[in-house]
Amino acid sequence: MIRVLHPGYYSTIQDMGRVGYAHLGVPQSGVMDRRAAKKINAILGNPMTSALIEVGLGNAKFRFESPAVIAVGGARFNVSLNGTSIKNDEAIIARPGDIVYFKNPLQGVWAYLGVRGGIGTKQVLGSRSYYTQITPHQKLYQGQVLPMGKLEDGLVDVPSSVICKEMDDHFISKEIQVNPGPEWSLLSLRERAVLMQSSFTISEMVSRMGYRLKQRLVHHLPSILSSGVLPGTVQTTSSGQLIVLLRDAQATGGYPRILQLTSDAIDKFVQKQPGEQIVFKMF
Amino acid sequence: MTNSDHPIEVKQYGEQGILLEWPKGISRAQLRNMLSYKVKIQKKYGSLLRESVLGYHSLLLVLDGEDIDMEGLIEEIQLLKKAPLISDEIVGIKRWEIPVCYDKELENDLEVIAQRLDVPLKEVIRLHQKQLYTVYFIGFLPGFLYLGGLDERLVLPRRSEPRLHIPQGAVGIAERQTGIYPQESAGGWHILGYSPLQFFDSAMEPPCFAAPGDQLRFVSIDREQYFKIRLLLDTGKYFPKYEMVEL
Repeated sequence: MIRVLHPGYYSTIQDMGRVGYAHLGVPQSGVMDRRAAKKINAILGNPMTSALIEVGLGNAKFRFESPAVIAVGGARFNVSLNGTSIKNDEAIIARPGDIVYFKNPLQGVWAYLGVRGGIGTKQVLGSRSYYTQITPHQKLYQGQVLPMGKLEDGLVDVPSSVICKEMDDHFISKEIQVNPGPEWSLLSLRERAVLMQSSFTISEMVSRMGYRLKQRLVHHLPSILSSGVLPGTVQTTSSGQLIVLLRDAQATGGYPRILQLTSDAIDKFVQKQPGEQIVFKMF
Repeated sequence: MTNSDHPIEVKQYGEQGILLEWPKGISRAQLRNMLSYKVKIQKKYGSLLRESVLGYHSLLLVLDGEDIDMEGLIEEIQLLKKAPLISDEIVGIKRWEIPVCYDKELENDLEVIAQRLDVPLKEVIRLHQKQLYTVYFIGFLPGFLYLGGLDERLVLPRRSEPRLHIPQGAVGIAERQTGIYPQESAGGWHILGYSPLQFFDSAMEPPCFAAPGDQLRFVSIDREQYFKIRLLLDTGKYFPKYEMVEL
């Protein structure tokens, strides 16, 4: 078991999300940075779908009440085990009483604490991912005790493709790969040029639902009749505010969907902190 | 009947998504066409489909798996347009009876609504109840039904200041829409009353009793009945009433 000593700013339990309920208005949810979570689960010998603790922006402290094989990863944090720094993406042993502390992010936003066997909280609609109206809690809370799962089928073989080399520019590169969204073709050539040639800054309005960008895109598009949206969709409001929808985004929306981030780009984008700049790149 | 008289645009949306779009508009005839199309796609590609999300005039398919030939699939789905619609296969739908308590003791906006619409309070309730509403799709919140069919005389702009907390079960109106808040939420709709029903329950299968294409009617109940139904629901002794009709 793991006791939450300090929940931090935005810590939750997440796995690969809820599948097959979007038509009932249920967001997909799931880890913000899928690549990072898959890597940790692979290192721990867990199935890809095992649940982890997701720590957003830090200040989170956990105490192990029973022994566990653990690994941390995702954003680059000041993270320690009993006060001694630990590295990302390495399996280590935690003993009862050991304390893991995520202080603050050096690069990125979302960090992960994985345990062998996964976090064993109750599944709701096929997933352990926290979401306000679906799971009993929205965030981890002080004093909460989290069960760990058992690896009943023994260790899973780790495909080497999953333990991929860290892309060196993951946290540094400003380029976010996109494809046209459904309403892209309604933008004028000038509007497209501005969208693709400008730098955009991540605003302070960031959540698991989406990130708002600071600069606006002046455009002439009307709103649309509500239609399906996806994590990674870039919407623009009538006043030109750009919103990049993320894992907890609603299943449908009424703003024009001008761009769609590739799935790799979503993992890269979510790790951008407020104030950082990005540029959209389309092949 | 073939589908050629209903032009559908099919395009890729995201690496694993396909968006089908019907002409912009909200109508029962089009909804019927969309639903039969959805059935046709689910029958043909069921195992490949992760999500199929309806909008007012769209259907978003999200596919499962790594190596899907998206271009080939889009072409196939475009060809489906030429295949006869399963229009003979009448889709059975449910007509739900949704109890609503319009009693002012439960803190609603009826007086303000009546004043702003310049319609007597009792007439507001009557107009809200006399209509048969169609469920177009579910979105915004888990279990939030997008309903069509509001009487023109009840069209009112949203509140200028949205409320931070609208209780679960609140039945509201805004613009041309009426809807029920499936759980507590922020929102800018005007509240007419409260339904004791649960519109989303993850312990139920399916978690949402109503489905796109279904119809519903609001039926007035008093406070005593409102609390009684809530109590019965809590103990699993109440199920929303419906009759089967043809779409």
